[in-house]
Amino acid sequence: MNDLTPRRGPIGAALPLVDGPDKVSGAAKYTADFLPPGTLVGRILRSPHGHARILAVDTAAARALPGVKAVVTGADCDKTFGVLPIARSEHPLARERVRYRGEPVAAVAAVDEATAARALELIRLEVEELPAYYTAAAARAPDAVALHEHRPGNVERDVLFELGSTAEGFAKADLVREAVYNCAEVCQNQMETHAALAEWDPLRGRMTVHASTQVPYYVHLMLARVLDIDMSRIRVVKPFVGGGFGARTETLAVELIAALLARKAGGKVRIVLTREETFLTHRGRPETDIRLKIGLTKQGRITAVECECTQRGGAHSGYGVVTILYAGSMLYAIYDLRAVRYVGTRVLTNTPPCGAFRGHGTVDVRFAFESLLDRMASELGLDPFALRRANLLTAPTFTDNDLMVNSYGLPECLDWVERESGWRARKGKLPKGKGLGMACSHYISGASKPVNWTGEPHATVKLKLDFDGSIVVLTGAADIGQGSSTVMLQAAAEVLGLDLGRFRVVSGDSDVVPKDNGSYSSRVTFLVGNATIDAARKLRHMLCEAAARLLEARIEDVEIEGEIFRAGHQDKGMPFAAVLTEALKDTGTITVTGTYSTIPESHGGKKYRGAAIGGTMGYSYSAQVVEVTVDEDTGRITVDKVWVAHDCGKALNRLSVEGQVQGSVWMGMGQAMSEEAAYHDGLMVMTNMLDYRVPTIQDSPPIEVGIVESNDPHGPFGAKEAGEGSLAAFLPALTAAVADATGLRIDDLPATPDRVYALLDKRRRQRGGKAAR
Amino acid sequence: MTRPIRFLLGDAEVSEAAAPPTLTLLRYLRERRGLVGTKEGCAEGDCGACTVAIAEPRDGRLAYKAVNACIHFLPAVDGKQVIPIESLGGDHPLQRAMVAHHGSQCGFCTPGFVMSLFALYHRPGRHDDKAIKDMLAGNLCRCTGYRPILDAARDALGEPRRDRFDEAETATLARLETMRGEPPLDYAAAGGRYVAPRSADQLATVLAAHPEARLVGGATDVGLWVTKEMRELPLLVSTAEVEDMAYVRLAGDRLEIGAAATYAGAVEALSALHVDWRLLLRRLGSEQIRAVGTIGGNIANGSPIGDTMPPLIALGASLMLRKGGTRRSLALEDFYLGYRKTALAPGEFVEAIHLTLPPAHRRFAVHKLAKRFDQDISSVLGAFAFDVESGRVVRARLAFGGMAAVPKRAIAAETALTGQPFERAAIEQAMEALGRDFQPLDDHRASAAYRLTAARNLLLKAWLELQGGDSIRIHGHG
Repeated sequence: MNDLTPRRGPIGAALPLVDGPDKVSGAAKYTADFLPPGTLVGRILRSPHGHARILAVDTAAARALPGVKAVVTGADCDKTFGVLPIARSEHPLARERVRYRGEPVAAVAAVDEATAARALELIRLEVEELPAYYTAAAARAPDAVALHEHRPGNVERDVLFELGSTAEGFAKADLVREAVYNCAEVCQNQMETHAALAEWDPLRGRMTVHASTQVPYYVHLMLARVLDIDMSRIRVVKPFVGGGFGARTETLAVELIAALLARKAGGKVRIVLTREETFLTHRGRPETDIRLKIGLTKQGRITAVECECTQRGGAHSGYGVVTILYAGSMLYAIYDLRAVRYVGTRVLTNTPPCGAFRGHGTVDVRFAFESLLDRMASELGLDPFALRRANLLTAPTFTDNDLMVNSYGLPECLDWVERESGWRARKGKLPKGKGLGMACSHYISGASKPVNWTGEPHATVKLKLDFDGSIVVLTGAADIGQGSSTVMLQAAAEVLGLDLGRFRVVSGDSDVVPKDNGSYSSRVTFLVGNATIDAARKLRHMLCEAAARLLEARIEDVEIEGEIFRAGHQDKGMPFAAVLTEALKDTGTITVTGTYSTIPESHGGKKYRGAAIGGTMGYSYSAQVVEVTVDEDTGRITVDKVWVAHDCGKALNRLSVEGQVQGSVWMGMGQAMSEEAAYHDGLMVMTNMLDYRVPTIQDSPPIEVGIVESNDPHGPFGAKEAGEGSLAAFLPALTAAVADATGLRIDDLPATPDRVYALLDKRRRQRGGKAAR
Repeated sequence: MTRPIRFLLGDAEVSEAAAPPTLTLLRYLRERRGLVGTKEGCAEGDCGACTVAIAEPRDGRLAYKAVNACIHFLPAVDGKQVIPIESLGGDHPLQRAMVAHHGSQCGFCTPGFVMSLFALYHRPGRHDDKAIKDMLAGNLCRCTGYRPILDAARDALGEPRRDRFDEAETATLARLETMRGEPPLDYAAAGGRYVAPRSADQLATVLAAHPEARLVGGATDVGLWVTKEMRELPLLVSTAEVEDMAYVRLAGDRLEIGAAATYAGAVEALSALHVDWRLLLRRLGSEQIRAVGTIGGNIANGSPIGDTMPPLIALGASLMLRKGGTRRSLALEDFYLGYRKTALAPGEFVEAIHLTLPPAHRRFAVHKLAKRFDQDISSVLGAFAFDVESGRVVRARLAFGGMAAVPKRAIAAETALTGQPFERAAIEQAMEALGRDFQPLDDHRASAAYRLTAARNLLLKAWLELQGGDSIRIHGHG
């Protein structure tokens, strides 16, 4: 049991977002909403070539155009950037080579948009074409030219491990099946396009950048590196951010280019990318090919797993190494596995770079894994729930790859969705064309080892208490809509036992708030939440000390309730105002710092290179049941309803948890059914809101959410993540439901009507039906 | 005589004389008025982040619509009230409900959702889930999965409803009426011109004098020419204010639709003829598109994937074309000469669409196949009209979109059906014949093989559904 069990405070309440009023009124300002007087318009020239050697970038005519204040090319910056210190392969503007259609080549800053657009037309790019590889297979061909010289064979990283003996495992199995799966590349397509406003102060040599980012700290690091100036001369501001889902968990070229232009122009430059450019910037989930083999006993116990995973990573390293490692390590920590062999290959191709899309690394492999389990369950005549229950973990435990599992609510998740969906009564008894399917998934609550290891605590939060009795939470955590500011505020108020109205959150300005690694891998609630609790406890101690002096009592006897400080129940007590005055008497304004660091046991093992990836302080769990209707005439699938249970440890804010879970299930639905990055000759072609089909309200089913609280021993008030773990299970639950409705197994996603129809049609022909039916 | 654009921006009276005529309402609000609450998500009318409400007098009341400001040219708001998110103040019941139900996560789409709901708020009556979803299908959200937004809408749209805009209705109407006392808008600024005639005669005169003008209806496509293709459009002539071309009326044995009638304006009359029109128009674009887009514009624009042409062709629609004072009638199917090429002569325009009322034995079905229910370009759209007497097809007209460079009839398939019993065997013959009618394209929306197979299946599906007559038609997706 967690030692911080909330009693009557705001934790566990259904609290609307603290910044909701700003958002509904239009007052919330996003990066593109800032336009200081005199700001120049920045525009980027992008490569029309998939792969080419740059011979010349002639900008003379553009520079000569009246109204053009700066032009930058690869010649202006020889520094690389990238999120992983071991793999920084990108230049803000391409040098020597362009590696994908859409890669930035040059940029201009001009007095207005028309001038900037005209200037781009005047830039001449001379190249010598190189062979371009748009698929993983083409890039891996024996004679393929390497995209990056230090990556022969175009393999960004290969991973191989075998833990336990798969040979023995398969020998013990009663049923062994192997299948091949393909998941299309998908894009975050967050509502706000990327934007950056860079302001260079030439007299002081200081740079201020407003950026639509999830990771202000990483942007800060990369700005210093690329501009080659001291980090202390940089300020990064993260205003309201219109969603991220991983598209912004690394520094993007747009932020760096805006800064390079601003410095060269000696002023302010804003770049707001178009929707098309936002797609081309990409950082989506890679196209993934999976060959999976599983052995099962008749009772449904998994005896061995063999998984080969190939990701088409795009033209640069990005998060690639981490993504391919996650895909393997996260086979674990959901079921009890004893023999696993994993072969992962991350391939460099001449397509836009992939990144860390929500559910990073886990989603496509989970789709394959759950799909094959479902198929094998039906072969063995086992109920899919029973099959999962035959393979559960018992927490606390360590997996074979050394992942630490302390809390495990999957059994309760299974129970909830089985009951609420009426599975036992309805499964197999639905009318023709309807079906039910189920699947499970999980995710981490922040990586135990940060990408950028500095030795500092994993999270730092400050609380400021001043004369007015207000308490300001100062945090670098980036609220991008997931509600982190609200949760920080709730956590601080809960510990202090003071009125929620006293609290404010200030975040997103590097001049003011402590550093934070950023909003990704669902780290904020767990890590920053714990740091907030630490800070609040310190502040509480100081207040109780002051109260003890006033009450002439021992500090350990002081309690806070309803803003009254008392020493024992009989005590009349001191109001907060009096305690505040006493507390500030000697020091004036109080600022406390709270920190949190993960424990070494959570850092994963050393059993193979990269085995630390996957380590976290707490895994979330999810089970889902999906009900569908399939129209066999058109191949169209309609999702009628979804039941999802999510083990978030403890729901700190029920509204937020439900919102996050529904949002991730829904996003999984988009990937499963309609979303797909499409290319024509290496050019991404569905780069608008019409052709990249995210579901509309008409296509969106009711999603019933069950919250399972496993009370993680390390989580803040027992909490774990809620915003990612439920995405993956939708995909296999959907295809299992389609299999239930039609008998057809969909192994390639998305399950668009044409794909489903082709499968139906093939079966009809095999059965000797009429040609067109 | 040129004059400034006059309109209400919230409560404030605005007279604008400097903005270029193709400046979008969104850019005007954000860049010239500093009203940055309205967001740009796509700049092509597909995501709804830029939604604002527009109120205008209709039958003595204010009628509200939601529009995509990103492709709405500023002069089109002349004589109207523009209501951006800032005008709501922050404590409107819709805003309170959106906060309370967690309807806003990242918040970027939120002002657009609020303004779409605001337009619905001001339409009288109870609004069920279907009405709410129809209203919001043009607003994309990437965070919530929509459920909390639906909850917020249910909450805030209860009856009775009354807000400060209702309180001010009489005064607002009076102010707008004063503005509308001005002559028709002829606006010139920054080297461009925008003319908005109020009668078909005025329109004919302007076009005769300026055959080079670009005629624009709701600008749901032309808007993109500016925002996406950066095209210069020096002279725009709008049909949006042409009052005597916005009609939808019965005249003898035919339905006449003025070319300026919007989709929203025509839906009832068309649905009364054939129930399938309702579903088709419900799926066409989004509320924001249907509020301003016109059937005449859909036809004259000549896109091979326009949704209204195949059903109109199948029903034997004809166009009334007009140049100056001269009119001529042309069958719709003869209007298309090639990809985006029509039979319009310079200075000529589509004035009306004529649709002969169907005979009692007409069976009709439309099927749109797209990857999304609404807001999607059709992969294939099939429209099927069968005239069946004593169990035999006396006349069949089958028309498809998405199968060729123009909306096109399937003559071979029609021939295969004509004179045959309205039975499966004949339908299968016709399905086979579709392979002679069309050699569709492969693109990222659908493969050629899928298109042809789907077209065949839509025909079969139509036949199957028509077995029971219109009364038992089942309306599902697809």
